[in-house]
Amino acid sequence: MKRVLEYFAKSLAVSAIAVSVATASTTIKFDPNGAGSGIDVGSFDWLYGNAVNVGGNPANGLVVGSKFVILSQAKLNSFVAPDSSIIPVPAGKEFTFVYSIPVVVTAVNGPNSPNYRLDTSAPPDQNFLELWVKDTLPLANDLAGTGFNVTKRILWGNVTNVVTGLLTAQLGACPSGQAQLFDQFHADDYGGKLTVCAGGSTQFAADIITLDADYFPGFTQAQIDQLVTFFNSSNIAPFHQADPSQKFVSDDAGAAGTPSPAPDVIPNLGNVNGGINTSGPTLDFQNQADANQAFQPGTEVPGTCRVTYGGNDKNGNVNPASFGSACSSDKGKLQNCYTFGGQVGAPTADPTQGGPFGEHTHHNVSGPAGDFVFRAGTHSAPKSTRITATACKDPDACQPAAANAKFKQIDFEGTGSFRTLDATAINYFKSLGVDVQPDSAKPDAVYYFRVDMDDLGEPGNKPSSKHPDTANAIKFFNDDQNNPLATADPTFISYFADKKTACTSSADVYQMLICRDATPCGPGTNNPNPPIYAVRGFLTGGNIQIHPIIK
Amino acid sequence: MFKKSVAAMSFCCALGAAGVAQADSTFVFDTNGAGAGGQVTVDAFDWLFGNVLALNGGPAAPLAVGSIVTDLYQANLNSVTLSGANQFTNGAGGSFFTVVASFSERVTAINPDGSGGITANFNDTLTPSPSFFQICAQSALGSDLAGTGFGCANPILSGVLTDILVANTTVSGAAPQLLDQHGADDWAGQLSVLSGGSANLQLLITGVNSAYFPTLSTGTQIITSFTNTSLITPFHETDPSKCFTTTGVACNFATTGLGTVNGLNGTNFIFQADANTSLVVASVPEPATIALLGLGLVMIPVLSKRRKSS
Repeated sequence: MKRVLEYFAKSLAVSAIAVSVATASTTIKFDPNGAGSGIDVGSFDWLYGNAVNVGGNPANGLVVGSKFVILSQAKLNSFVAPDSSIIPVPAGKEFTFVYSIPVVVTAVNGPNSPNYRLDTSAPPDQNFLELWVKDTLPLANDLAGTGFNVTKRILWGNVTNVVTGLLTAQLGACPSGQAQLFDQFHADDYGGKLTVCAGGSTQFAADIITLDADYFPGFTQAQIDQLVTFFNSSNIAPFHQADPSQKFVSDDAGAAGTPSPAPDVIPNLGNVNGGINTSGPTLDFQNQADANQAFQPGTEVPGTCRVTYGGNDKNGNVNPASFGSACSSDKGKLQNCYTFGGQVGAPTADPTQGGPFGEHTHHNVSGPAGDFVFRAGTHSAPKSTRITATACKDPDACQPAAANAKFKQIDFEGTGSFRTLDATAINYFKSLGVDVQPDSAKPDAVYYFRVDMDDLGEPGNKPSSKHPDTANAIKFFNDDQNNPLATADPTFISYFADKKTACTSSADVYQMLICRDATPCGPGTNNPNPPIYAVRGFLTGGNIQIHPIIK
Repeated sequence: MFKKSVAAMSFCCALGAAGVAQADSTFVFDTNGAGAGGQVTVDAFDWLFGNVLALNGGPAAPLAVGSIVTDLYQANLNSVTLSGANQFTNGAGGSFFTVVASFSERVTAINPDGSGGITANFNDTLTPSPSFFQICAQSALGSDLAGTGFGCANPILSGVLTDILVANTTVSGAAPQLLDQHGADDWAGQLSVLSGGSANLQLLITGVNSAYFPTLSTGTQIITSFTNTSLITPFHETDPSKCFTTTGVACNFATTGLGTVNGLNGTNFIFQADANTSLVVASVPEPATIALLGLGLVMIPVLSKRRKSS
């Protein structure tokens, strides 16, 4: 043991030379009434709630490399002012959180007693943090596990780092080594179910993707981009201060923030929560959790970016200044019309950290390719769909677009699947020699896709200048093909007299292609392996917003 | 005194009946200690982010299996709740409450955490050691930074540690950071490892002030407290304290011995803590019942021996 400590001290002493620069937790403006004004809040103190380690008690116990997902939910107790005075939750309001963190076991200190860290290779839909508010009954219910992600989402984020995670859950920790009643909070609602005794904690940091301006007033997008929230929670069993939840939420509400998924995970704890599991099946481990939360400006990861976006367009919309009725006026449906949305790159686009992550949805609404929905990485998509790589291109952002972003273009690729297709869509793809079916019918069928997006100023769907340089915007558009990520794209500003002209002359650009299988294909009809679907155009509606990545 | 002894003995018997646990209780908390106007029915105390100083808990202590670490804890109250609903917010009506505690624990294991750090587990000391747990009524918030205003000479509730269910700490192998990341750095650049842990404790309540707890009595009830806390560094939600109390009365121990990097090369280790407390209240058994329980305990080995031999 002494050797362990000495080795630790020496290795950490070396790393201490490169002390991590951390800024102080920051006071934020928060409006508990959601009226858009704000008071100074230093931190959130959450009430005793629940956490379940889904898959946290596998057959024959956890080993190094085992994976499980921590789902947690609780109500807010109070806000805490910077001077430590308590700011109660206004009468009639209820604030709640739900989170999901995929983790991988790094060490085991006895049965069901792991150290763990963030599993960066987990499907992206397993990673989210959401804060919700409601002012109508019924309130969130610890026992039922309901009402924790309803009405209005006010914060959405992704966990970027599990700073520390450990749990000791053992029969030997209980008085006299005897299993205890699982639910000791008032009446036993679990019919005498027993549990081992446990203690531990999870401390994590999360990037914030969206904040609701009614509750977090005054945050610019640039400030949101730089904001990190720190969460830490104790974890114990048995339950003494709250009822164990019967259900948990396993999905976030996606980029749109609505609808919120219903609680869908019912913990399978076996006869004794946390008891030795020798024969399977994989069980879960549930514990009481008590969390608190603070905010801190983060530091930017150089050379990386992420994007949030949503819009609609018609393929081949090459006029950056003429929008709006393009699809509806296309009576003959000669071109594909589509909507798209998602977020890509968060929590990290660093391949060494398992990124990129994200979710992308493309809905071809009408046109030759019919009506289909293609998606990757969304909470309802098959786990095999995934955004595998991003490329941030064209340094220097257009102002005021994403004021602190460092790039104007982002390309990403991955594999996705078809959620729905109408008969026109199925026949269209059959005409190209591909039997495309919804993933409910062909669950293993995934298709390579690639997206090329340009964030060329605000608003995203039209030039901001009264006299835009439309000709050069079109010239850039024609040159900026949806090529492989490694291919250099033309730099936007080089097509114009100056940056100001460039950044006020063009709408944002969205391009997407889908290949006949999971293998990458090339753009253009002359390519020996052409895409089965490809669209591109200046945005008709919506916006593309490129952000920096903060840790 | 006699009643306390009876209560303690009964508590031991209750522990002997392993696996049998009573539900956490509701009780009346008089927030102004004056009867009318301040009474709320509650079932838990949710403490605000506070401080723990682990004396001899730093690697340079040196820390080894078998080492004894003494923890000093202090925090302000956040609120008292009933079924998760806030019944009293600290400071309302000019009433403030704090908690201070001290107990010792023994290192049972030190292992790598698999990510370049280490994990230490703790348990009860093998021999009884002094401990206290006190809730104090105050006239103002305790100062986390100064470490003052937490203790008191006349606690409204007091107890002693009876069992450490779980206590653990893991120290990350990540580069150290500023210890005090709550607002301005009040610790002049003091660094700290990144760490996380918990303590899940069982205590016996030995004294209550009936003005504040009119439905509780250590003379006629066995009152067990279940208190648990998270332990983290660096500090994000409150300031690290510069003073602690070793007696429960007042700040008397200046925070020293953290080394240049808290948790790396000091003899003491300071943590941010966030705790909560509930109580289980049971009636003190009649003397005849105690005698029966005692007889039962005496007979257990006899019966066990007979069962084995049969």
